[in-house]
Amino acid sequence: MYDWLKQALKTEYTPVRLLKESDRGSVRVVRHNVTGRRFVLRCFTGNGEVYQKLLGYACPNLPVVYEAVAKGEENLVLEELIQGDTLNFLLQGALFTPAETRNIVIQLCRGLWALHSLGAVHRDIKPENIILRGADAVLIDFDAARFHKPELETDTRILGTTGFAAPEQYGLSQSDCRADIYSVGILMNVMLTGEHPSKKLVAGKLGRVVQRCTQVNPKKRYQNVLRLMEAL
Amino acid sequence: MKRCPYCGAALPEEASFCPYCAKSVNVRTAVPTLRRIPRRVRLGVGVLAVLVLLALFGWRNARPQVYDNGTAEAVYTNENGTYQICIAWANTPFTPCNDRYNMAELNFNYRYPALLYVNHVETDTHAGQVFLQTVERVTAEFVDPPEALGISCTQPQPDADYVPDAACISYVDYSISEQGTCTAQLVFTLHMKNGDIIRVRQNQHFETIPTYDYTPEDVPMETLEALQSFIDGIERTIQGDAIINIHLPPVTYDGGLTLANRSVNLIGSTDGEGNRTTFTGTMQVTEQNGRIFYFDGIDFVGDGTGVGLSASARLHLTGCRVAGWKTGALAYGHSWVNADECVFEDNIVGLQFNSIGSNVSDTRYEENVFQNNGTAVLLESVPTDVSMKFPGCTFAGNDKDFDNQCGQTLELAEATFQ
Repeated sequence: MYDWLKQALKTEYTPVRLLKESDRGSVRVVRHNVTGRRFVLRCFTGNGEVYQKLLGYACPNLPVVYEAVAKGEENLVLEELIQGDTLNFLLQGALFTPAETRNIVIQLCRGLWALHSLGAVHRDIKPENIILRGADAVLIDFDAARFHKPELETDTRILGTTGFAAPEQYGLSQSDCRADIYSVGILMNVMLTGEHPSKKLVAGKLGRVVQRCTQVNPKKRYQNVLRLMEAL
Repeated sequence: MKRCPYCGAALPEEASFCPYCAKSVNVRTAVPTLRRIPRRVRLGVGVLAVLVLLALFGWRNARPQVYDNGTAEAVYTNENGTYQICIAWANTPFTPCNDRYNMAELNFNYRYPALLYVNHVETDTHAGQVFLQTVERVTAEFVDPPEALGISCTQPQPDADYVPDAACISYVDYSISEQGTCTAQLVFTLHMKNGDIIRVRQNQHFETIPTYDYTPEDVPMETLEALQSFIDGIERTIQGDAIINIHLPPVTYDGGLTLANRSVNLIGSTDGEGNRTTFTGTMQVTEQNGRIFYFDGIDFVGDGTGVGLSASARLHLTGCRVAGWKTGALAYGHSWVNADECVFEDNIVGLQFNSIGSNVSDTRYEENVFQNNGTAVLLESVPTDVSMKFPGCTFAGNDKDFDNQCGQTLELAEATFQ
């Protein structure tokens, strides 16, 4: 299946541009030669289980995963190209208002709800991985995502983005959906203040929400995105 | 391989996407929409739920309760303490018996008592008498018995004479019409005066007993030696509760048999010339393990001495003739001898009881003829207080019809004395 898809992609698609490249792999925009439709093609080494799980689901706040195949540790994922600007790009020009922040984070929570209900944790929530497509916020890049396995005491690998990743992602304990809640708290604070909450915490009620999200002890955070949405 | 429904390209079975026409070929499920419920609404629903639960709790405690956990035991507490209500055996009245196993001969009628105990938990005493004062009525029934099982039960009553410790006894009558096993559930229901209902249940398992019939065509039994040898072989080879019916030829056996190890049924016959199966020696029946020996249509004829039938096991005679013995039929040890439609004649003593124990099987002696005996019935010791009944019996020409040395209660109203 992996070889078949790789061959088909080679003959039927044309690379358009390279979005990201690292030791773990690459992310490219490719175009279907016949229809001209554009897709995101991810080639990476690691666990592609989340992408395979998402093959059967649809959520407006997550990209559609069209195909996900693996051969050993090598993964090929073909997914929807989300047209829009990343939060990171938008944050370079201005901060978001509390109302805009609530609206975006609530949509982000909907995407996370879809992931968490599959038993997966995103583990890399940050401005670069959120794209605003018109009025919709879409959470992308599940390369760091994994399934929460209660029998494991600690994560075996440190993944995620420094500053946004929860403490447990550094080996203090196994990360579960509350690790994403930690990252959402950081993201909110950055959207509102442009700073990490350890440097400048947003004032008011949203500040208390950020504090609750970013507790070191996962048990003191919101226990799921439903509770976070409730607080928002 | 499968085909893309849009472009017809060959795709692997597990493909979700056709890379040739760039269309999805799998079915997707929409992730459930996440809806926020406002805190006030949640709080209101929570308060409402608590109120409903409180109301339900109050309503449940205010109305009569049903105690039924599907077993032979229920625990019930009232102002006098906690009680164990259970169906149990008489020798283990504090141990609920969820399953009772019965063996039955095909199409035979059986009766046994089912015992309901009420025990006071704090004091470990039988408390049926006190507890029944709080009971409106007790009923018993069988739930959905199979068609092959004819079964019924009497309505439960205390029986201080039979099992005084039991609160109630229901007598179960049953017969099985098909070979095999079947189950029915006996349910005792106690309708309390306060409206509570207590149910205890016992699964009753029934299994037909295998029956073996042997005839002169099957095995040699023309001589006493051959017959005794055959019976000894049966005793060695057929174990358990199997019923053995031996159909005897219409011959006279010069002597008697010794039946010592297991019960067998001897069924005599009569030929066209009126010759019947006859034994001229003492028949010794000494099996002690409970089952009844049935002798049917056989003559036991002596020379004026000895004992015709010497039984320390349970013995039931039907249509037999016992004649010319010092003692026609003797029940001794722990035995019980019963007779229906038999003739006891020309004996010094026709029927003699000198036994003890609790192996009583039937106290009715129907349609017998006692004639020309010295003493028709001699009762030295009878192992029951239940009266012996002689409906339809004829006593004629005996020197003494009854020598009731042990003072046994007799019912002779329906007997004829000539």
